[in-house]
Amino acid sequence: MQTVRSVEAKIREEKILGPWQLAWIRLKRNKLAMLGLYILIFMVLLSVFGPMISPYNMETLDLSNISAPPSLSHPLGTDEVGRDVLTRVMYAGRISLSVGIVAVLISVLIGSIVGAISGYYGGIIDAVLMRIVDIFMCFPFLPLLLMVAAVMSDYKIHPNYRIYVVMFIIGILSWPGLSRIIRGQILSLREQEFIQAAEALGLRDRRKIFRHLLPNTFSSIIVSATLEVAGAILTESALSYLGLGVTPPTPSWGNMVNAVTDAYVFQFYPWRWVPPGICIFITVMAINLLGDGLRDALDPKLKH
Amino acid sequence: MKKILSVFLGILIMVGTFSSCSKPSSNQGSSDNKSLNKSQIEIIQATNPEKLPQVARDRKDTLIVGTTAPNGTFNPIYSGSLYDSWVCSLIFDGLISNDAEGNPIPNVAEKWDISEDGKTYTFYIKKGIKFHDGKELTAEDVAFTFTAICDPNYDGPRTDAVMYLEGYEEYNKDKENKVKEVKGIKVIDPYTIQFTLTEAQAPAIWNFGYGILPKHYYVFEKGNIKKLKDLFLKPMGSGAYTLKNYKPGAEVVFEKNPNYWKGEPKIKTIVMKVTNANTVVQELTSGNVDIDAVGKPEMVELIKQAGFFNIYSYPSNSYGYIGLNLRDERFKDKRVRQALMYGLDRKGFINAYYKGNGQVCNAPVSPVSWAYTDEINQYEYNPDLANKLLDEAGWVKKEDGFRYKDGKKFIIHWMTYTGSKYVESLIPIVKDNWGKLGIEVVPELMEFGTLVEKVYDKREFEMYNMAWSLSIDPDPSGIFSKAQDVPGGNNSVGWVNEESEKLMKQGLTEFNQEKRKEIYKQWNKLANEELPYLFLSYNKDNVAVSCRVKGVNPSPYIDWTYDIQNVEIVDVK
Amino acid sequence: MRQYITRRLLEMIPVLIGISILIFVIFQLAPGDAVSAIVDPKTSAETKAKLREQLHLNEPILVQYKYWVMDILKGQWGESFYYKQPVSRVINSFIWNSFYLSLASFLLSAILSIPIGVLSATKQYSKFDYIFTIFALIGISMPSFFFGLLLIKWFAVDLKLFPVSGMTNPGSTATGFALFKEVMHHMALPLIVLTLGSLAGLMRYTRSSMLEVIRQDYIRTARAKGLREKVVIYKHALRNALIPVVTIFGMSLPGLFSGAIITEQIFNWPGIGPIELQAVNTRDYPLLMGINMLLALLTLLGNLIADVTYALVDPRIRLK
Repeated sequence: MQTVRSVEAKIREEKILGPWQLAWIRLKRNKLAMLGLYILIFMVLLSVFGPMISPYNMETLDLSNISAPPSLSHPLGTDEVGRDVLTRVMYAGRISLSVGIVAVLISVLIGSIVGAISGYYGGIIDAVLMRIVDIFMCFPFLPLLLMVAAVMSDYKIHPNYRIYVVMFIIGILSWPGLSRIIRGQILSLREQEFIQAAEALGLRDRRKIFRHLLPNTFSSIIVSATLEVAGAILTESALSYLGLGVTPPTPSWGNMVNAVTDAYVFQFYPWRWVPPGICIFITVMAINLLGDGLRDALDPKLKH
Repeated sequence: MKKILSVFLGILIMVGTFSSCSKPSSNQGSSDNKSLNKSQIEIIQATNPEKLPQVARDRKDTLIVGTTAPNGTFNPIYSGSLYDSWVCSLIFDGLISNDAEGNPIPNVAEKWDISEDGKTYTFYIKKGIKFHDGKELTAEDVAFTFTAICDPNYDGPRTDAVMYLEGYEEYNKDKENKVKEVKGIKVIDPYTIQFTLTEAQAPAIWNFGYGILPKHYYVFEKGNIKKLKDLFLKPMGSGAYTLKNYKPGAEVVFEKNPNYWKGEPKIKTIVMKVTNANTVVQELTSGNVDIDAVGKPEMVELIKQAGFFNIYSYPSNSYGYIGLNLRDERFKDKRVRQALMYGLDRKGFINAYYKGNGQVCNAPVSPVSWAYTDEINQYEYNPDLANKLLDEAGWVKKEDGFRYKDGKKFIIHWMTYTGSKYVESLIPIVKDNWGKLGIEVVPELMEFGTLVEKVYDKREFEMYNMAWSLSIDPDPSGIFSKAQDVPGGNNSVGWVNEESEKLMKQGLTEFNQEKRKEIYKQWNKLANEELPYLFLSYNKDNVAVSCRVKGVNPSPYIDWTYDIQNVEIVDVK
Repeated sequence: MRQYITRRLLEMIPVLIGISILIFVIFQLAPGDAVSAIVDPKTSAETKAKLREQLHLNEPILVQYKYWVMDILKGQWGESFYYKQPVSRVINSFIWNSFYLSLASFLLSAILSIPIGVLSATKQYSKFDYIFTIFALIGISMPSFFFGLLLIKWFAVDLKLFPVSGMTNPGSTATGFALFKEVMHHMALPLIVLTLGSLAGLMRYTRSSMLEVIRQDYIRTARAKGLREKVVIYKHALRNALIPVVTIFGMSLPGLFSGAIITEQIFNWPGIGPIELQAVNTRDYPLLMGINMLLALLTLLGNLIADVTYALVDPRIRLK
């Protein structure tokens, strides 16, 4: 009786320490990864609650106080029409963080699944999927984006809601690259011994792909996600040239950091572009640290 | 150099010239500044010529001028951009030209007559003008040039210059090569040519300023205009310089024409080097470029500090405005338009954006034009008056702070374009100022080309903003006439006013400038009162000219190519 | 292998035809055309209508497509509305300048990023690794515009080591080796900016897949066999770690020709990047369609090359 109970307890304990909990424990041990996580949480809190605490509104102008350097009343100075830069940076975080994260999630989800299926099955499935990827990569996005912008304005979609479309577009734009990277790795991985072993064990395809193959490409996914977060934040402001990004006066880090395109601002008003630049950097770095930690934590080969 | 609205692309930065605009016609000319309002031109002299860098001192026989990249359409009847027209004005000469005040002056034509009825123009060509290959320029060449624009397959931007020539339609519509010539173009003798128009129009003289093509070199069979395109990069004219080398997107190199009929040019080589607004200050101050336009006032300051540039600063021949769709019931009411004008701190905006490099605009004419008048309402910022006008117009403010009429809230959807700092500064000010009047403004940014289609072709808008760059002649009918109130026409706001039509017609058919001036004064008063547009701003052009260059005096109607043969490079101590 | 390549090349034909239809239709649906982009008080509505007729813009879409395909088959790719020249000629006069710059940057970043990535991986969590990680992250989170201006300020204005902009000296008539030297001198700064941008990605991919590989059993086996560390890393591990890098190389083929809009713009490098943008502004659709078709072809080729290279890098991969 007692042995049964102890076995049961053991099973329960095993359950408590399922792979995800194990990973979480390992992650918690990784100081750098936790630092990344905390920074990310901090950035999110700052952009959600910061603008509420700030005495300024992100739209309040002060034409008598244009491009003022940092001071006690404006810790990060003011911009070209006298708005408080700190408030705008915090507000911009809402847009940029959500664009960055949502777009990357979309791209990673589609990219890795398509890549894995294509790489694993090969043959006709691979050929068809990869031709679709080819077409996506050759797609004339420029006129398409102009069209989407025009259609949204025809239907009078409020400028503030267009940002959701932008997230989706950036995600859609970037998955084909990732899918080719994943596919390439899977082509190589599926020939390795452990997959042959899995084959011999008669595991189902889904299990092989999602439990055995994809986790081994995790490091590439993490790298591409980190690169894409930064890319997405900056792309948002490039899309606004086509009439698709956020509409001024709403700020985003991307369009704030682009104040640097003005050579004079670059040289003499650094407070207008350094803070959003640092925010992008810190966010990307945090995601990178967290990503590296996650990869290690999830690595099935790592002994603990 | 005339960057009306410097267009910055967010990440894809690029400074282009989206000038919703016309280019001033041929910009070469000679004469002095007689009656041009000189107070408008400000010249800041170089303070420390000795600081001129060694690189510039060593460049004894070469002048380097900064430019935006030309397209390579080096043909006066095809050149589309201002920069291509510079190239053309160095290589080609037109029948007439203009002086610094914007008056027509003789060039290849020694003189001209306009018939009593204003329909026949006779030009007398100076004898002995030679093309670069030594052949003489005659009336045949002039006739060839203008006939080429009438060609059925011509697809360049000069059609409006020949549309009123007698026999244009017959020649242009005929694709079977039955009509051999345009009736309205007549060669009287080798040195006399006559043009006959179907309508008398005072500004028509400007149609004859385009560079003359040598017939023997460019000649093509009717319809086969492709030949002209094949010769874009091998242009030949009678001008002061010849094209030596063209590197697309990088530079255009010219060599002097020693046999130039106005005298041998003093500078051997001219290079038009492509620069951009982001690094123009670095190019100028390091001595790599002798002449260039400088956009922002802060940059002018940096150039001034360098000490070895003379800076010419003058209002450009253009204005920025907000267009309201006058087909919209709300904006049909003049009081509403006036209220919006009074309720906008235009001066505050201009000071914030231009920092002294611009001024408030109150009528659709540039301060540099002879037709300009300031005896008009200045619409100083006055929110109280604006509120009063809106009350009168029946827009009542409710508790929520917004105005309503017939149960409808006053919301304006404002379509504007992306990538412009001008727009980015204007939006918050308009939102704020009109918000205080009780009007909600919803700005929407779109790519410029999309906006243009919506405004001009589809005319689906409530409000937009753009800028016009004007021609030398002040006739406003190209923008404000009833005839232009059609899809694709320039009167996109749909302003139709009987009084205005009458005045514009008078202005067009009156050939006496003093009398025209009086007519346009009245017209501008009318436009200022009726507000077809909400006028915003005039900006200034700033041109930096190295102190080692003598003879370049840019002003609103003439640029550095003016009298280029007299420009010289001098030693600086 | 030869059979595989032939099959893929044949497959490209229908794909390209499909893409050409796609490109054409989407450009037709996009807002505005070359004539609507003209706003000029001297161009009346009447003139615009005439121009539209001249450029065949009023004709049915199928007829226009026919014109376009015929132009492509003639090798001219249609006439650019803005340049009034055959599209092929316009592309040709800019694309090679872009190619030289991009190729140089591609080679440089490949040469630098792979060793750095490998070292970062073998010395994971060392100072070297941290420095280059931070360096890479700065590289991807700052716009290249910023580096461009910074370099111009330091090296061109203050130190006067390199020219501010351009590809050759103004009015230069140099040829041969002198021309090469001149171009290299002008290329230095834009090259650094471009390389910084692409370095980060390659470096990170090399590092991560290297990390992945050196934990594999066969590497442990190789070490256990007593092979020298260098041999293990460079001969056995690197080969397998290169798979994602090869994919990226394949994908960068079109990038070599598409130009770098921002960098070319700041340095006035006469490449095709700014031309594309200008073509959007002027609605020069024939030019844009031409560029798009060319890049489509290169994308397909690049992906094919990558697929073939997989088999060379990892012989176990079977191409069918």
